[in-house]
Amino acid sequence: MSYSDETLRRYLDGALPEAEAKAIEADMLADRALERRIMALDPMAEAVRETMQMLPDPARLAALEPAEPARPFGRWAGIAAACILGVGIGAFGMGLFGAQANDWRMEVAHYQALDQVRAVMAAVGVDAPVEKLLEVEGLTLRRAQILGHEGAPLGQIVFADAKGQPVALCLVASKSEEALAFGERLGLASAAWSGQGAGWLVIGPVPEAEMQGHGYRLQAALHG
Amino acid sequence: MGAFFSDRGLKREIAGHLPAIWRFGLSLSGSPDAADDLAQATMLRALEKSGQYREDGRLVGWLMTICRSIWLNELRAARIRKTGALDGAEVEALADIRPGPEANIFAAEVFEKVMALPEAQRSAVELVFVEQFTYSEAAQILDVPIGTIMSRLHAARRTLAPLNEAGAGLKEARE
Repeated sequence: MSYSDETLRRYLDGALPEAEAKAIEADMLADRALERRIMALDPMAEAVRETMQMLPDPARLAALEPAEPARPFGRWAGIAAACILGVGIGAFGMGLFGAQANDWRMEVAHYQALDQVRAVMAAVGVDAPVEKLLEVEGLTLRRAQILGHEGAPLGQIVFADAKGQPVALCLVASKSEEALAFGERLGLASAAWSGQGAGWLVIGPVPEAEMQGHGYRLQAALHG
Repeated sequence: MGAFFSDRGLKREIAGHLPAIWRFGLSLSGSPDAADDLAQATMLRALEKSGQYREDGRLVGWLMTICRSIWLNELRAARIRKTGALDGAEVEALADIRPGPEANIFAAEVFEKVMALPEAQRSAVELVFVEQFTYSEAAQILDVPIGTIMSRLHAARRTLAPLNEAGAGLKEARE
């Protein structure tokens, strides 16, 4: 059904009988072009748009700095330093089993690392699907240990990325809930979030873009 | 799980839509201060929920939905308790932000008439006339049938109609 501009203008003015108006509305649902035509014929729209788009005053918006979520890196400053202890950043050893050998020795290493991770999670008091840490794309689980930080257990889980660079995932008990955020710490790319009883920090000598991927994938693996 | 954004990239994209979000917040609340709160809260919430954003729709439509949700679930009740009325806009605050005649001689009148509309009509006008969402998109954002959008716009047009005549008179005078 095609409508003249005149009919559509009368529709917009509310001057059509109800049955006709309903018919146009029904057609509009199926016909995007008709919808656009009607919008273009609307006498009121342009005047209102021109006026209202003068708002808001740009200075008003600029003053609206979105409140920074509690900066995870402020709290994490000391933890970041503890987190990279013993990881051999910059000179990552080949590990106990050498390069990426796809054989039984690699499997043994993984299960040993998984046991270490379980011990770490228990010490910090976190319940998380540790097996998922074996399946994180781009990261190979190497080992885990419990360090201390300010009198509380700090878990350190070490991965190797595809190039053999170390990426450390650290955790401490925490009641906060903070969204994943990225930033630089100690000259290294890092990612941090809190949830499910812990604060989590990922840090390593990798490019920022790669750290973002690691952050998202680790968070997804741990929290689903 | 959907595409993931770099926080900074998404923040920049959202910032580009902030004026529209602010205007929508103003249309919902009738208050420039509430619009400030809504714009800030929407931006924060969108960043928190960025993992849930499906790139199938338009980002700005998703942001509008978040804004409306915050208004309905969080701010609206508090504001009604505070001011004792919803459709009575905060006259002074609005006078502060009203466009002046140097922009366009009718801007102040248009602004006052639009802000005097009831919330339901005002938000429909804002989404369709000002931000140029289609009727269907506006219906989705406001969570009403498309017919409801049309009837709200009809009612708004009737109220605003005198502006049309005044504007036409000015145009003729200039020609």
